[in-house]
Amino acid sequence: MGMRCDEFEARLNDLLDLRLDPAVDVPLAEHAEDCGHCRTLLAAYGNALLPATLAVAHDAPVDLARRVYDRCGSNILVAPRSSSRWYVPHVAAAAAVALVALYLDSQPPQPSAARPVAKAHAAAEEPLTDPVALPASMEVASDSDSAFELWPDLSYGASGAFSDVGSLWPAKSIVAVAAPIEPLPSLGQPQVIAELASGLKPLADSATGAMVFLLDVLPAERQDGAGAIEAPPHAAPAASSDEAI
Amino acid sequence: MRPNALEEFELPDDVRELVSRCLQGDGTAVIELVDHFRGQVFGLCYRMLRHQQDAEDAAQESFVRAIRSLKRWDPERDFTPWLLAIAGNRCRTQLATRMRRRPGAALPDEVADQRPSAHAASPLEEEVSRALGELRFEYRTAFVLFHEQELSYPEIAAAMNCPIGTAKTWVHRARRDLARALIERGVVEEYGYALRRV
Repeated sequence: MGMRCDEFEARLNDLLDLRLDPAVDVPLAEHAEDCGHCRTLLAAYGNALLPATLAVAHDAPVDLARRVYDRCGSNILVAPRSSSRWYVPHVAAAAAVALVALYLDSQPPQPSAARPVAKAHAAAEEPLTDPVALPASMEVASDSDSAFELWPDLSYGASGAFSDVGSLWPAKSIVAVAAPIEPLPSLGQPQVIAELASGLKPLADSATGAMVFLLDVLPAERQDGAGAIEAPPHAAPAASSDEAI
Repeated sequence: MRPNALEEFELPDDVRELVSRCLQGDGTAVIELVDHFRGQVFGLCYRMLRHQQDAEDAAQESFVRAIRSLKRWDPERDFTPWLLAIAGNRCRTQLATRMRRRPGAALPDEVADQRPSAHAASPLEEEVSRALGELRFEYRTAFVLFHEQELSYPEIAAAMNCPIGTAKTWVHRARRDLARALIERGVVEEYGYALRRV
């Protein structure tokens, strides 16, 4: 059985791969005798390869070696510093810093486990969608007597209070510290307005009035608690009536 | 004997010795190294770029890069494929640069060097060279490395950084496309069916 045309080209390539002359291959030659298409193909392959087999040296410049040597100069054996890679360490360092920043930014605030500061921690765990807004649990209620209710430890100077705040996410800490100051309940009291309207007062009397006012607005349980601001002994009559002012 | 074949440095040990001398700072060894490979490197560059000046530039740049990177050459591997791989990359870069400068240009025919050469090309060589220039870069490189530089398939695979089977396929397709191009142009009828020894 004779060779098929597809086998012919495959066998032709195999012979060329072995750098053999296909013309000396008997089955190939027999098929080429009988098949005009494959005979043309055989001739085409031969013509395509002929220039390659007759390849002569192209006009390689004779002074190429000298030119190469001159190009390399005295640094011929020194690998050139790659100017395109000088920035790699810088980029790596910047990327590391950026990754750390991203990691810290994506971390929820971690409250201190040593002391429970219930409301502040609960607020810190709430998702904060608006960076300038307080979490719902930290908002000062309109009917609240004092914003200091939210910050008992801060307002009364309990030890460790500020370390708790410091462990919060920085942005929240700023908001949380600033927010309780905002209500300033003293401005809404008629006593203070009366004081201001009455003109200058002696320093001692003004300070006494301020302390009395604080005792009024502070929560009852804190007025007698440890670390609370104690009212001076002579303040009670002044606080009880407007006539004393 | 083909003029661009290595005549004095066919033994790998000689190449290694040359490279070793180069690495020790022997400038004479550098010149010897370039002199004995310039035919191969320039031949590949000329086949790929089809332009004398471009081929000279590519060959020079290839040698400069190779010499500056000699420390990276693994002595366990053949030197010739490593060197030709650098030359092939330079040709690819030069062709890409040429394409960027002249987008849409029919690259091989338009930029082919028309200057008279010491080696006058026959009409058949012109036809084959033209058809070769129309092949894909990989096909052309593999074809030139196999049939002109007489590299083996493992060497071609090493030079082109591809599997041996891929190198073989590229050479086969280059032959097939070349043969069909010659048939389409009527070159086969004109030059007869003679098949020379390869």
